Amino acid sequence: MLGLVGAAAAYAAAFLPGGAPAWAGPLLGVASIVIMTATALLAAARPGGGTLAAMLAVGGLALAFAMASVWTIPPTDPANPDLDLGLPRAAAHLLYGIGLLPALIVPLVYAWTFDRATLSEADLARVRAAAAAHRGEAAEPPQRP
Amino acid sequence: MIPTLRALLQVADLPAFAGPTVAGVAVLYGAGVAAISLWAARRTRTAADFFVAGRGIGLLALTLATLASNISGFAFIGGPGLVYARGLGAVWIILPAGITGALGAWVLAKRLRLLAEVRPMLTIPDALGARYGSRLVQGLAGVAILVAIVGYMAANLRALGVVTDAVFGIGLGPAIWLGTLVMIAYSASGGSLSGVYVDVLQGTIMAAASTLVFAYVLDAGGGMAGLSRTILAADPAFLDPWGHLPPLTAASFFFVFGLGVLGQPHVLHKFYMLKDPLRLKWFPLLGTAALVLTVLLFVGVGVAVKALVVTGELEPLANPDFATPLFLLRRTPLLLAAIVLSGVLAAIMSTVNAFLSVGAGAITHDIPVALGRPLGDELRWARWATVLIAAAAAAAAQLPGALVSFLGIFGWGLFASTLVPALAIGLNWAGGTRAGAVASIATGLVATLALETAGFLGWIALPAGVSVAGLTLVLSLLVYLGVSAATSASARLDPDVRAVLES
Repeated sequence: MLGLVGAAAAYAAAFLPGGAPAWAGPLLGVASIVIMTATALLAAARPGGGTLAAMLAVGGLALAFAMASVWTIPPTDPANPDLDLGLPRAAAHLLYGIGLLPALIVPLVYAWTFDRATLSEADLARVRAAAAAHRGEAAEPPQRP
Repeated sequence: MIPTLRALLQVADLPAFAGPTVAGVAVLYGAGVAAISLWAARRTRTAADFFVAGRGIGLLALTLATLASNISGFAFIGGPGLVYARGLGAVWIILPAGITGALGAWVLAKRLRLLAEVRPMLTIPDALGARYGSRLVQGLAGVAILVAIVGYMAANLRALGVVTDAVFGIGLGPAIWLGTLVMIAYSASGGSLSGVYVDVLQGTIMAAASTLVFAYVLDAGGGMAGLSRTILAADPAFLDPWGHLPPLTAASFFFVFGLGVLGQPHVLHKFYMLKDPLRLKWFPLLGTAALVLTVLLFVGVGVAVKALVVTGELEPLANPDFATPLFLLRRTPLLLAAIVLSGVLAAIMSTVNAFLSVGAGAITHDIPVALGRPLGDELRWARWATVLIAAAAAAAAQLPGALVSFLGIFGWGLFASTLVPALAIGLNWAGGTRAGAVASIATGLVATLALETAGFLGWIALPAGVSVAGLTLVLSLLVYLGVSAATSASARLDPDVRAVLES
């Protein structure tokens, strides 16, 4: 909800006279990450999901911090550019830090926690049993009062 | 002009590629598609085969099929053009790619696949119908999908025509119909079964072509550092984090494309198709790797062409969409250029095929079920619906470019605003209610149509950085949460669906 309010505020600010204030961009960027993280946390909220939830919370926080800091990195001097892995510092921070690094880490976290926190044989058996029970109930003729 | 989702559509003309090598590779590619379609058509015997590939595909097929459906021709043509014109700000469109694979898997892949264990799931509205125990929710979602698809399909068929015309030089109108006929042939005959295995071919071509082109990008500019130094000397703002875009526009791209993936039915319904749900463990790893490779071209070509223009090795582009074609023709071997062009065709065709399947599902399954009149022979009706949708979209694709582009803008944003709240939140939160789902889908549908139409007609002009897709997504999420909270007493779940939500 906090993320949604942030996103709504960022968009609403753009309607102010003079256009979007400087804080609207970073607010929407951070709010996007908060919403995505909260949605993932909602999915992780289940028995055995504690470790995953903690990892998601820490990861989301780090990513939100990284997003906010994009706006704080000063532009490079074009005459004497300071490059990180071939890009100006702010662009490198954006592409490698927010774009590429999560691509290397997040799928591994998913695979590593999958059996415990996402889906196990036991979960599958439980769902199939619930389905069978429901089908059994549904197949019975309705009871007359 | 500030780019909006309109920029994501490929409706401008491309330079002609017509030549024996390019046409030959395209014909070979078409023959591959035809062979797979024939194979699949013989194995399509039921509606489940048609809509969800008989629920029997493996992890690799799922990965490449979702990749191919997710990536349209924009990633190869419009995207690099946008980077060339607007700098790194355009990259925010693909910036969430590192997260979205795992996010989609956590939030939706498991739930959707498990729902297919407990109920006969053919379409995404089926999941909504089961989740909320409501035919109204299912029907409303079906209508929203149909509205989005016809316009989006028109834009994609137009794009298919543009590329086909550039390859074969037969004129735009005939090229649209030729592309449509190919699409009808393989989509109506084999449905999703055909689509998935064609997607495997298409996804492979797309990822391989993009990776190879990126190697030539680095070679063209003396590595990333060489490219950066060249551009910084002439246009330092190009390599700012938001390039020549307002920062709010860049952040809005991140918001819409990061969260909007959770509402794309043509991609999500592929999760039903996976044979063994436990194989989802490796889906984000494979999917993210394939996606990152595929978007290398998006970033690389735009930056490389900018550097080549700065050094005078390329003349300034008359149209930013020429970035990829000109780079391919001038800086890569002709055979690779031909393969990439086939990759563009592949990207468009796989997206169109996925739309056709989802649209046919809405017409022949979701809406009749919502009306309490399910159709008898869904397979036969689905084939006819595929032909009908394709023909309607092809006719719409012949309209003037600006109008086609307008029709197409609805698609992505409409999917996001109508489906993300009820589906992505609703399948992970037992507190979501039927009233919340109905209200959020209706809000997304009406608000998107009203705002996009008013914008197209010039009645309103949104401030710089504000997109209709972003605005309506926020609105429908707030409506879903608010109405669900207000009607929480009515929240109910069938026991089997509850087991899925609690797993």
